[in-house]
Amino acid sequence: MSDLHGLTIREAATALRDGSLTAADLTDAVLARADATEPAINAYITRTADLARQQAAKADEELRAGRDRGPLHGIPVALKDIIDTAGIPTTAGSDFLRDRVPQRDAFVTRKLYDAGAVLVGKLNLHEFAMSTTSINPHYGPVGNPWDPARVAGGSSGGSAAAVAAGSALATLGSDTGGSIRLPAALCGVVGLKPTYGRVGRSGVVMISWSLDHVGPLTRTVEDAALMLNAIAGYDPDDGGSAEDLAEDFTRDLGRGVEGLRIGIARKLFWSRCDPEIEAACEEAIEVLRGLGATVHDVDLPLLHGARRTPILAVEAAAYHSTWLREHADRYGDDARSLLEAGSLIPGTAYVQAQRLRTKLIDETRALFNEIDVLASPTSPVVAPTIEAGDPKFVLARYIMDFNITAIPAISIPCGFSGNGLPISLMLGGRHFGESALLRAAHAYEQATDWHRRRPSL
Amino acid sequence: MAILADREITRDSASARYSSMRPLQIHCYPSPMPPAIDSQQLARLRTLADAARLSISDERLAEIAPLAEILIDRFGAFAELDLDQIQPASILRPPRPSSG
Repeated sequence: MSDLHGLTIREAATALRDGSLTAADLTDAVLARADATEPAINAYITRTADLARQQAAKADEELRAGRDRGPLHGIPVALKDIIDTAGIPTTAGSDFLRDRVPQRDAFVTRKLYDAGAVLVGKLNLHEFAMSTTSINPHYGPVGNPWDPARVAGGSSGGSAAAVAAGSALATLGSDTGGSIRLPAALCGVVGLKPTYGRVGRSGVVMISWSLDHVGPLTRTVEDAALMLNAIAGYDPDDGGSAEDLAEDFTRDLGRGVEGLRIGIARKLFWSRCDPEIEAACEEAIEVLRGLGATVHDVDLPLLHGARRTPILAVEAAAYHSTWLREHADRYGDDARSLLEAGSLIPGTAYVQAQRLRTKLIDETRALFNEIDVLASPTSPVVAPTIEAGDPKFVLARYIMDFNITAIPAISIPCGFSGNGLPISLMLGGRHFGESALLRAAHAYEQATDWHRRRPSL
Repeated sequence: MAILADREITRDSASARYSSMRPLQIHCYPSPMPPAIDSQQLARLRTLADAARLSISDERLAEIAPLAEILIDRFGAFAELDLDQIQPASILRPPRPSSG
């Protein structure tokens, strides 16, 4: 079997069970791939090769003994470096936490370990997950595997780049204003932000208590469903965790999209878009229409005017208030600017924003009585160069609204630009409607081959 | 120790690469930017910064002022919305009665 590092979770899980592959060999292949792609891509802050080999050996022993923990058993994964791992540094991409070694695993780390996953390392990100490029002033920029001179997107840039480069089969990221979906889009992989509350966040360094989400980045939609199966669930240590709504997110994947109602909010999610991206996403919607979906123009008038919420900046400023007062010079410019601005917002503005948010959530909930899926480009532009960055925050134009309204959303590859950079379609669904979302995304993926393309690193 | 050694290799290489780049631009919130900040706005932001016990120079305050003004003013535009019966999305759920 060649190119083991390029397998999907499903392919590897099948091979691990038919005896054609061991977790040890798979892990060695992924570690070797990381040796080849780092530091050019710089997806990793910490690599855990010794731990990974121990976990892989244990996974093989268990499988031989007949103990099968499920599809992630023996699968090499990596975590964004804001997700705590007992005994392994967790820096949040910051100078402040450079030497911090948590004593406990995060909720999602425990979930992945329980599912038999193998940890190959901790992934680079935008400092404290606070912006869109993963140009990190302390650990260096993450390079895009399709063109290392370009950004991988952020803030979960390492999480997307590792999957695209093959230095992990799947990863976890976090999404406060698009930080899973955006890097997934720029790196040509699948990124899923679940519904707020679906995945527990204890042990994850916070940016914004009311906007943060944790979710998977993978090569296929099915793999995203498998990862969500493993990490979803009630977390008693997370005040934002929803009651346990256990379900198998792979169950409906093959049901197709016949009769599925797709909404297009052109004024909100398609404005000022690169024509090449707009055309690719229009074509993707035509594919879904051809598979039996219906397409409807919709609008969210309240949300249209409420995009620049102070919620993120204020909550982040509250979390960082002591460090900001005493050691502001230890932040990079992006994080410091956001935190200082957030410190200046009056309390009444924050509360009004949260009140308005209630109306936005109601508006969105009503919309999903009329449609099943909301479709748009994930990003209005392809990955900019590292030199150019994203000084006007253009990359986040379409994605923040899904955090404000707490609905699930997935980014899937739907094409390439003329200069060979990935283009992606974003699908949003109703609250706790991940299964319908994954079904639509999977149907599109099965009808196209964009997800099979790999960067030539 | 192996973990930390791996990490040092990655970080050193990355830092070397980063140091060869031009300095980062300060990030702003979504374009377009608002008009220039006037002295009255700056004075108001200075009051807010002092209230927040933020140690920040006048030059630095002027740099982040456009972003702060966007975030503060945003919701002024929604003053006409009827929020009378609307509670914040972040409101606490009441504790559940304990079983038994």
